[in-house]
Amino acid sequence: MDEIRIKNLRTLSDTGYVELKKINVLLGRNSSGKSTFARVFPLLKQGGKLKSKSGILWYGSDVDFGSFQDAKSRSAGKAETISFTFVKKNLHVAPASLYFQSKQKLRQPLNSKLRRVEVTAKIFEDEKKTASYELKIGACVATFTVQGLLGAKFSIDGVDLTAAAQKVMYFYRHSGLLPDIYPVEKPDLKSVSNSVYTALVKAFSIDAQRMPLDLIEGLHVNILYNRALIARSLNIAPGELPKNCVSFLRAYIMWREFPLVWETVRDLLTDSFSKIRYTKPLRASAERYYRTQGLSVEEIDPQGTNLAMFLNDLSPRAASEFSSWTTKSLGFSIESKTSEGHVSILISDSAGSKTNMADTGFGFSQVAPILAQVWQCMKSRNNSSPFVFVIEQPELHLHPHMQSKLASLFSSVANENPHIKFIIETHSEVFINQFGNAVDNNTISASDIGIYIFEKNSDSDKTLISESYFDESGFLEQWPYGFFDA
Amino acid sequence: MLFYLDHDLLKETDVNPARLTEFLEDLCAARRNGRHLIFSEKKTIEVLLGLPDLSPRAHRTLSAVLRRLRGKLSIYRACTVYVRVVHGTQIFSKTRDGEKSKISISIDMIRGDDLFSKPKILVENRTDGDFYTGIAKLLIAQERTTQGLSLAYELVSGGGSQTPREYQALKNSDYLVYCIVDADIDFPGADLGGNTAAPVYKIEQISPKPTTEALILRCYSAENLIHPSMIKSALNLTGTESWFVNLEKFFELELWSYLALKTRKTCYDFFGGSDKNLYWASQRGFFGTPPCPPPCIKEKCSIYTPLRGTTLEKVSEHLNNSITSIPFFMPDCKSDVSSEWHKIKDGVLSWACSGGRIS
Repeated sequence: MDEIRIKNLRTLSDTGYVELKKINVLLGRNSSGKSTFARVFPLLKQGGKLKSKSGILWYGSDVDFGSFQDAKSRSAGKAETISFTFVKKNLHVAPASLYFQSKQKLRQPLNSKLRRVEVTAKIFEDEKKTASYELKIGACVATFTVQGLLGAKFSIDGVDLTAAAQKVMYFYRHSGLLPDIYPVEKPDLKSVSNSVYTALVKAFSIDAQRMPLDLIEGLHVNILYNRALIARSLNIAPGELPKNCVSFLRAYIMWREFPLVWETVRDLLTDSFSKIRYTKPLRASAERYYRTQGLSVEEIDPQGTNLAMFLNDLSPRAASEFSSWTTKSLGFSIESKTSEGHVSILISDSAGSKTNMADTGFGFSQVAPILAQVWQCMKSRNNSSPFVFVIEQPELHLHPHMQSKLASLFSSVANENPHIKFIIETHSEVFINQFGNAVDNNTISASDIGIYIFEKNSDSDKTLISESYFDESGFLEQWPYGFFDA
Repeated sequence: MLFYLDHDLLKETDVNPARLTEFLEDLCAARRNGRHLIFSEKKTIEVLLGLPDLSPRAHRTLSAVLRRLRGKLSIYRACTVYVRVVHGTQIFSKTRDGEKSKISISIDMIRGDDLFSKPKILVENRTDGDFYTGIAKLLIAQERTTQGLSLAYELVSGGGSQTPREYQALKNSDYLVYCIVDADIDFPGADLGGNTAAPVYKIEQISPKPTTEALILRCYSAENLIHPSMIKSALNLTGTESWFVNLEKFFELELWSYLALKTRKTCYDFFGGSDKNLYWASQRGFFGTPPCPPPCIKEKCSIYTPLRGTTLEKVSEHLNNSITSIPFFMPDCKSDVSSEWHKIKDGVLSWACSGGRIS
């Protein structure tokens, strides 16, 4: 995802569109809403692992938002609900891999890039077993509601097309935030297309003679963004194209392309959610020995409790690479040692002296899971969508010098690995400073770092998010001066 | 005041490293004590940190400055005046640097500790000073990029008409001095007030000095920079009081800046052939009060009911007290008043900007 917008979640009454850059730093006073923002990502991931009634699992092993009622903003009205909007830019829609396409055989295979696609999921109480969704392409919005497992309502730009939708597709919400679409058995596409066409002609007061179905079936999806393109496609001067015609055509194209676009963006987002990595603000302290388990460790857990097993699971070559990488980046290596069914984590300093992590400073145990996770993401071959790496308080128990090295590491990793994005919640001035240095010495581009400042309005209890950024010399622009002062 | 360490200053490390070190010790002490700010290119400070004779405290101060350099750009941008410490000899000048005034000074021109002391803000009296600095603080706090800025200054009361003498005396020192006085003009085109504004202006013309500057406010007196909402808030008014409603009306008019708010206006002020009388005659329609039956008795006549003499003090106290709780929100208002506010804010910010104390 390229942008996210959250509404009515705790103090985040409306975050506005927050662009997710390679490095995103969340700053603010305690209880300003930055942790809520950061934890939305593991929340989305958490909901994808298990089947939930509303698409969101408010309480799980990664994060605990309590319940829908606990999570909903106090300032939100009764009719308002929690919503998440995701923006994908340059969405590549190709029919080949889509289940829906293979069944339905659309007449107009779609293979293009959509400039900006927005998906919004509105969440209701678990008991209602309802969620509603929006797909926005250009100015056109398709809205649908899923009740239980199946779709209940479907409309495009306010025109109710529920009956038509139910004849060709049904929505299925098994796990995760966004439902799948499946085609009904042997749909009569021609008759449904005609009925949608007729409904839209009526709704937008269109002269059907002027806009026959044959003519508009051939229009390309990109017309959703561009009025001039619509006019050109129809051989009409842009000035002569009535507004209702534009709305009508957009609505029809949206109807036609909806299943493919939805499935594409849904698959992409679901994949993105699964690739969220989260590190809790307090990591597990080091133990002297860990019982060996025969499990394959696919992911470091948010507290890093399976770090020893992760290290133990590495091949000798991978372990050596990991060790070299941490030594080069932070000046110490992390490795595991197995003996009699137990595993120990050893920290080696630059002189090669090895110490059990339980006997080193607490900082090592706090930073080691982060390093392991980052390295794991770097080495992953599954790069279809980026890993979003959410880290709360990476500076925990680290000396400023080590903080500085860690920030440099994040900068270089983000720059060299397009498939990794960082969301870092921090109170560390050193991190900010070091990111500025990274920009100054061209380790990362200034435009790849977003600094988001969370401030809670004392009157309304709502969080306001503003963006600061680095100039090309690494100096902060739009920076609230004195932010780090006591 | 923001001290910008010019990159060329590094040449001093070859020419006179002892003098450079001594200067840095003084500047770092001033920074440590929250009197001034230090800004420069990162590389400049990195090299200066390598000076062998720099004391551990100065080293720690410069390191702290370096650590926080990334967030200082906004303050550098906001300063309309700053000191640029440069390499060379006998350099002491004030020139334009884009939209800023740059006070260039070479180390050999820094004598004693005056420059490192808190800048002096010279005003006619303490009430004026508290009001001006209160406005500045509120506007600084209202601006996102300056909101956390500390100010360090010493308010000097010139004593009304003695202010020019005090200004001249301060010009003979090496202190950083920013003088703010009202113009005492009671109609558009009036000459500057003869007691204070005109002499201050004259001093500025005859003996300009890079480290001093005077702001002469385009208004009759400090009271003319009070927004009615300040009075309403400070005096806890309902806003329906007839005198206040009248005041609000005057505030929106051009005459506001020239109206002697603490003085009664009589019929006599609207008659006569002087430029002042002609101006006020042209504004007579805005004063609803009927004229006295001839002959007007000057002692009893009151076309305009003046503000109490303590209004400025109360407003000033209210504004300054609000800063530590819920800051009074400086409203958008007509350009002549608001532009004077911003001149005050720019001046106070530039001359008095400082940082928190560094241990």
